[in-house]
Amino acid sequence: MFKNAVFGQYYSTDSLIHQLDPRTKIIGSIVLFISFFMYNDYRGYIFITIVLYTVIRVTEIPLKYILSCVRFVLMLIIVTMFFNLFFRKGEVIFTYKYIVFTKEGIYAAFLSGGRLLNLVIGASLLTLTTMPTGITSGLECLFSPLAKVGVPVGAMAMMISIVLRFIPILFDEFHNIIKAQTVRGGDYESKNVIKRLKSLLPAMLPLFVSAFRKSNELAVAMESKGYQLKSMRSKMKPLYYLKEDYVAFFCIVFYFVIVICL
Amino acid sequence: MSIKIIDLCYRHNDQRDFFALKNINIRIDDGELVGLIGHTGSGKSTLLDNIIRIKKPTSGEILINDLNIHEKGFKVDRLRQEVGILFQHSEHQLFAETVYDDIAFGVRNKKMLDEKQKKAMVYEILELLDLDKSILGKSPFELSGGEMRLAAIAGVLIMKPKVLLLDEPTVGLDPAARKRILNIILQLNKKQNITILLVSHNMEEIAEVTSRVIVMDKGNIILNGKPEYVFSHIETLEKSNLRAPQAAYVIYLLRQRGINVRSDVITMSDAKREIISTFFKEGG
Repeated sequence: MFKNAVFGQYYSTDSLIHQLDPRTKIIGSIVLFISFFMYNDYRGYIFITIVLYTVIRVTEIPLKYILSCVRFVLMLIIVTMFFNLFFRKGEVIFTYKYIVFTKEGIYAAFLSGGRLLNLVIGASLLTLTTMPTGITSGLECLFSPLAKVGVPVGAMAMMISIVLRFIPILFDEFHNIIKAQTVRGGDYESKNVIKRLKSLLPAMLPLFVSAFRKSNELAVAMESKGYQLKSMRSKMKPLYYLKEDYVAFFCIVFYFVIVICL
Repeated sequence: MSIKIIDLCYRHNDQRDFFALKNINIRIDDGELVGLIGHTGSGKSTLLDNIIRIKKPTSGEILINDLNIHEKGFKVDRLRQEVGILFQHSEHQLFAETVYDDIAFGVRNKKMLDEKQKKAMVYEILELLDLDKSILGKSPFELSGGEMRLAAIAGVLIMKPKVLLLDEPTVGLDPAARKRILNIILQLNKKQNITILLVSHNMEEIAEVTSRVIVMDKGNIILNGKPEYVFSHIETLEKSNLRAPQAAYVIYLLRQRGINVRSDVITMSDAKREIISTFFKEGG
């Protein structure tokens, strides 16, 4: 059903989390990220997982969709769990031929696999619930104090928003190029990895050419509309903190305190 | 080569209820030049993708020379060889270092052919398209827009396809290059007997070269017949955000005013002739 789900692509619902200010969500994500590395036992893991899945419930995004987005890390999680499971010394539970299962190994495997899965899901939550433009203006706002010490915050935000805007366009174009070359005998469906990698090169070239052409066109278009790097720009959707944001902030702080205490 | 499409339905993976193609039935006979029109999002490109097996139909069959191309055991290589497709803005898909390499891309892995034969094939295509040999050593990115498009067409023709699917081959070109490409399309169809499916938003073009027109709207086929028949349904076309060629409008308006001109006129040159002969008759 969600075969084409792309990692972190915005998923539109009317949930409370979608309506929060991007700044709140960015800070929330950072706190969530830090918290993933603050626990070492199962209690912390269970607590964080419960919180994470509650947040997902609130976003009204189907869990199936999120899981299909993160399916690409499945292999990584399996490998991590595998190494933890078999290469840890400790109290032996049972052995099968040369394979030794230890209590510590099983424990570590579940903890590290779960941590990795939570991490990826947590990372995708921000972009799933916030439009790219929202993230950019949120970042711009959060980093605006740095502008006083000469960091070009506005330009960086513009750069990020241009990058985000072009990803789907270039993705589409790449898809079209692959299609065109497949039909002309390009080998993209071969099971031989080296063959497939080799055929990627002719696809990358037109993509680069087109990216340069597009960036050139965009630069000319921006200049002709009077874009200047240092001028102040107003926003179409200015950011305002609402009551919900303060409540969310309170929840974030509360969550962080509990994680520290655990 | 003939194309038969039977009860074809297609739904994108991530969409549950929306069908991009609904019960499409088309039959294109060997040597036909058929136009396919429809506004953006009507399902034309999805249909082409299904015909070349880039997309798999949700249900239904596509038979090329009576072989089901989506059946297990069907040789995709053969399909790639015999059905050529020119995508929209094909000049953006050129990639090789030289025009020669780009044109020869389709035959580079053919073991039965030696370099000499491959070279002969490239030269043959150049002649067919009336392109100068001096462009072969150039980078494809140095060419003009029209030449780039022709180089892309050459890259498709080198495979010697028996069916050609052309997705807006003239879009964005100047009138001279447009005319040149239309002439080539006609030649390929008449002289080499290649079956052609031409997608275009330019109704004049469709009226001029095709022998049959298929109109798509929201994944359905709403009209299918001779250009004169299709373009006489001006109201149906306008309902699906399309229009008829200018000449058909002129004739339509004249007839509405009670002037008795033939209704099956769709090209400018025919309209001119028809109007002169009618008025000459009436006047004199």
